[in-house]
Amino acid sequence: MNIYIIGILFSLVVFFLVGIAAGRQVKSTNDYYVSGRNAPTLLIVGSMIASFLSTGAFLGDTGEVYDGFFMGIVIVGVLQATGYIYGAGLFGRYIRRSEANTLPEYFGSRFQSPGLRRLSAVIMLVSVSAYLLSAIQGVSTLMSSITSLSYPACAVIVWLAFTVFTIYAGSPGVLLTDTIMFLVFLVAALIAVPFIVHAGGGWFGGIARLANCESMPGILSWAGSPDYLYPDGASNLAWAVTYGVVWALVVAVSPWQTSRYLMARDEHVVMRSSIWSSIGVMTVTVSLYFTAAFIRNINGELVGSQALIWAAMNVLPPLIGITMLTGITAAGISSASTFLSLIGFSAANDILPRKGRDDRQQLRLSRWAMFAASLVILALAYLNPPQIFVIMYFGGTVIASSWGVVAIGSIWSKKLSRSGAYLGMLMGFLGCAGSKMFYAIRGITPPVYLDAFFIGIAMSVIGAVIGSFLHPVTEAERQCRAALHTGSIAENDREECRKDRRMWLVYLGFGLLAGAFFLFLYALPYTRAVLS
Amino acid sequence: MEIILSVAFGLWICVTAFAYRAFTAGRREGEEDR
Repeated sequence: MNIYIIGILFSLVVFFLVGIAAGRQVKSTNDYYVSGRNAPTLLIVGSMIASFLSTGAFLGDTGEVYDGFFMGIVIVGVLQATGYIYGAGLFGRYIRRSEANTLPEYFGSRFQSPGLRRLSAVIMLVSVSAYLLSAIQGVSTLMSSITSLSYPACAVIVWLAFTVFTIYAGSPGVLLTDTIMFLVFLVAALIAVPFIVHAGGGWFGGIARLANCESMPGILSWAGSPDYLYPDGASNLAWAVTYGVVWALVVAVSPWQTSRYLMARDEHVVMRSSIWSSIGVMTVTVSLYFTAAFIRNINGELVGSQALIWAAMNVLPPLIGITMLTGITAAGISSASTFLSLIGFSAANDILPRKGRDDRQQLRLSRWAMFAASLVILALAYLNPPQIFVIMYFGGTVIASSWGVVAIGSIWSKKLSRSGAYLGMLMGFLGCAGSKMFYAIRGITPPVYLDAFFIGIAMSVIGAVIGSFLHPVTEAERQCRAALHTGSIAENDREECRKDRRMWLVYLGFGLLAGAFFLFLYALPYTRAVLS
Repeated sequence: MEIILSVAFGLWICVTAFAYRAFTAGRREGEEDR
């Protein structure tokens, strides 16, 4: 057992104890599902970022940068992070007004449709389960790669680490542990940068070396490595911009992000959280991407997804290395706890019939539902069957494809009816998941405009139009939508509204700083090095 | 092209800042006066 795994196991115990302690305040389903709807900005921001960034960002995205796709990944990173602002302004603050406990409950009450509630819950269950599985696999792979423990043993340890406190504490535990885990991986991402940059030749020296990198030509160029995705820069750029927009939509409507808004103390928290979450995600991801590129200067012979792990154990000082590996673990565990809670809440609240249960019985059922779901996921992660990749087709962008049109339409469309919402969601899901499977089975890499996401979105729009045409909006649905556009009395606080509005200057300043950073610390030194 | 993209990043974030401003301004006028 080495110092790295001791550090990781110690952090898992801390997260576990904090989560259990937070669970003591759970007295009702309101506490359990939405943390008493009383969470401040810090907890919402911490949970949103921790739920969004998983091992995929720390090991997958950095691997892609290391393998030559720096600018493509940076473009996706910047665009997706701005999705927080559009998501909060166009969707998030309105669902907070609905006072629903889950997103499927919101859809069901907005369109007066128990059927839509169940459908959205099933789609969420399938999609989030795929993500949960990938988070467990990511952390387990990390643990087994730095210890002598087998992958199945690591899967069980990881499962235990987040399952117990999530089942017991529900949202209060998830919010608190997410925030602590976010702070851990924020620190890890930031403090690793100077050490890796120093080892990689210093900032400007390192950029110059990467500009003329022999082991991965074009790694920092706008076009990316011609061997990575598409052979030409224009196609790579089109892919990056398209996927950036797609992931911005994921950030804006996905349940593992927007469900945090249901727990916010008020709408002010929703709006302010969007600013800090956007800044936080961009800061962490861009730091990681530059770190991954600089690792190429230190060792050009690594497997991309192992680059950050290798650097943590071979370049960083032990304490910083432990922090980095703990941060990666925290990113995976925090996402897993959110995913599991979403599965449990929706299974008990939106799928199983209520049958006159009182609040205490409902709370117990939610915990059992979560436990049952976690066992299924553990079995899949433990056995790791060869067919497991099929499940992954339901993750990714499927949720944005199926929920996107209906979510935004539920707030802004006067014509979207119950039937339109149902058909739109169903066709979006089938279109995206179906075409993903088709491409995979046939081994096809489609052009960007025929990506499964766009097929799903197009079918969702068609479904929404046909459904709304066949069964137009009823008076009850019209009133439900109108109610969302009426602020509650608690929101009518002029001083708080002024504070919300002033936050735009913080984001504007961040935008100017980000532009200056990329221009003076990346583009100009890179261009000079290429031309010299 | 790297220079153009760097400037574009900054501009896009600034545009999003204006969008945020519009979202929050709309709330005050639309709802506070109700």
